[in-house]
Amino acid sequence: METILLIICPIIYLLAALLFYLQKNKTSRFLLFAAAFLHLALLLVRSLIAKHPPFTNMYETFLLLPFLIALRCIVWPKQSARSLHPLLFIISAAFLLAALLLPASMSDPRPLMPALNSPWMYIHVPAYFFAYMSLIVALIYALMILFRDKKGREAGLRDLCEKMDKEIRISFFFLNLGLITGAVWAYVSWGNYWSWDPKETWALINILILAFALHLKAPTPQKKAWIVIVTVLSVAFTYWGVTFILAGLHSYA
Amino acid sequence: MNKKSFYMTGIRVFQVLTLLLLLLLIVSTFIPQQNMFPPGEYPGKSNVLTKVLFLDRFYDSPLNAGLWLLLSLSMIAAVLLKAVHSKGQRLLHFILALVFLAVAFDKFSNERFMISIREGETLPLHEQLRLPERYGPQQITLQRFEMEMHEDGQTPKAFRSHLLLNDEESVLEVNKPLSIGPYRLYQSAYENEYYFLFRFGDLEKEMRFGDTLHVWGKTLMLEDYDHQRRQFRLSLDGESVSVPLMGGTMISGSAAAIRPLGERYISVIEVAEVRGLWVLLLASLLYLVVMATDFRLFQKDGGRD
Repeated sequence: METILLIICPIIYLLAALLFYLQKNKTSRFLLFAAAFLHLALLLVRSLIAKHPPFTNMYETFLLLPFLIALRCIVWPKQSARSLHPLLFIISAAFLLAALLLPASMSDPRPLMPALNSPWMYIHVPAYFFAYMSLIVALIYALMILFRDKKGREAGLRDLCEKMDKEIRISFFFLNLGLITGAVWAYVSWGNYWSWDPKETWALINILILAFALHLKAPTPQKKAWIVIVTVLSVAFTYWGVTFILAGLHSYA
Repeated sequence: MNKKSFYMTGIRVFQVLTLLLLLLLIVSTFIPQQNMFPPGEYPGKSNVLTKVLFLDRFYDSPLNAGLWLLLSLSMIAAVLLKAVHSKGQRLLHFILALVFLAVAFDKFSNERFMISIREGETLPLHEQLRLPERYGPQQITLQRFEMEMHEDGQTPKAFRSHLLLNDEESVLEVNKPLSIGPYRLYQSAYENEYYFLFRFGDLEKEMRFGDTLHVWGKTLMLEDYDHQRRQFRLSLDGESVSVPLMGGTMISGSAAAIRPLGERYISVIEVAEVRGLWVLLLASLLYLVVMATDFRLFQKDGGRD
C-alpha cells in the first residue's frame, strides 16, 4: 500500500505541473488536491506501519517535506507566485521519487528509541521542515533573480526580492523555532540543552548564515540571493552530510 | 557619529564576528574534539594553527566564549546607541543578547555532572550538590534498573531506574526528570556489566572486568574475554594468564576457574543545576514571539520592507 501510494503521488504531482504549464489551471488544481490527499494517506499509512509520526529518519522526512510544499500551495497559494507552483509540484515529485529509490536499510520502519518518544518531536522536526520548505521557495526566487534578463524591469526584480525576503524571514523564524524547541527537548531528555553535537552546530551555522541576509550593509537582491544559495547548501549538508559524515547524538536523523 | 554611521558600524561588527564564528564552527565540526576522548587517547594531531585557534577544543575554548560575548555586547551596544532602526528590532536584539548572557551564566555557574550507579549500589550526593542544610543528607540507591524493549527485541522502548532517593521511592525515566531542590536528575543512558565467579584454590570471589584481587602477595586482574579462543585473559603481577571458559587451569600451583554469573545494569544519570534557567526559557520564547511579530509572519500583506 505504502509503495503504491509512493508511486501514484509523484505521477499526479507531475501531471498537475504539466496541466498548469498547459494553462489548464482548474484541472491542475484538482490534481494538486488529489495528490495532496493521497500524500496525506501515504503519511498516515507510514505512521500506522512505523507506529510513530513519519519524521524520524531520512526516508520519512523525504515524505514529509514534499507534503508541506503541496500543503503550502493549497493553504497559502498567494504567498508564492503562482508561476512557481509547477516547479514546486516537480520538486515534491522529485523528493517522493528519491524516497522510492532509497535502500531498504534507510526506508524500513524502525521503532523509536526512548529519547525520541517525546511530544517535543511534534514541534521540533516539523519546525525545521517548514523552514526547509520556505528555503526551497526562496531558492527558486534567488535563482530567478540571478538568472534574470538584465534588461528586465526594476519593478519585477523588486517584487521578486520582496517575495524572497518574506521566505527568508519565514525560514529564519522556523530555523530558530526548531533550534529552541530542540534545545528544550534535549534539556528534558538529557539535562543539557546544548552539547555542540555536529547536527546542533550545523543548525546554528545555518541560522548564522541566513542572519547575514538580514544584516547586509548595502542589501541588493543579488547579494541576498547568493546568501540564500549558500544557506541551502549548508542546510543540505546538515540534512545529509552531517548524518553520514559526522557522528553524533543525531546519528539516526 | 550619527545614527547612520552607528548602523553601518554595527552591521560591520556583526559581519566580522559572525564570519569568524562561522569559519571556526565549520572547521571544528570536522576536527575531533579533545573532550570526546579519555585523557591521553586523543587521535588527532595538533599543529600550530589548531592550537592557536583552539580548533581541537573549540567549543569549551575562551575564543568561542569570547566571540559570543562580543556578539552579545555588540547587540546591546547597537540597542543602546539606537544603531538598530525599529523598536521591534531593538527589542529582538536585546532579548537575543539576554539569551546569550543567560547561556553564559548557566555554563559558568551551574554544576552539571554524571553519576554511574550499579543495581543495589548506594551513592552519597550531598558532597557534590551545593544545597542548603535544610535539604539534609542526600543519597541515592539504585534498587532496580528496568528495560522495556520494542517488539523487535533489539531496540529499547524505555528504560527506567527505580531509585531510593533519600528513603523515598522514585522512578527516573528518559524524558521524565526528578528534582532535588535546584537540581534535576535525568536518565541519560545505561551500560551493561558482566559478573563472574572467580575460584582460585579455596578462594571464591565475584569479579568484573578490570577488578583486581590480591592473593599470596600477588596482584591478579581480570582483563577481558577472548571470544575466538573462548578463554578469559588475566594478568598476574603483569604476566598474562589464560583461563578457558569451560574448565579451569593451574595458576601458581592452585586450580583457577571462572564462571559467568550474568549481567547487571549500570544506570547513567546526569545531574544538572537549573538555577536561572527559567530566564533562558522565557527569553527564548519571547525572542520567538517578538520575531514573529516584527517579521509580520502571520499577516496577509507580506513582510516588512
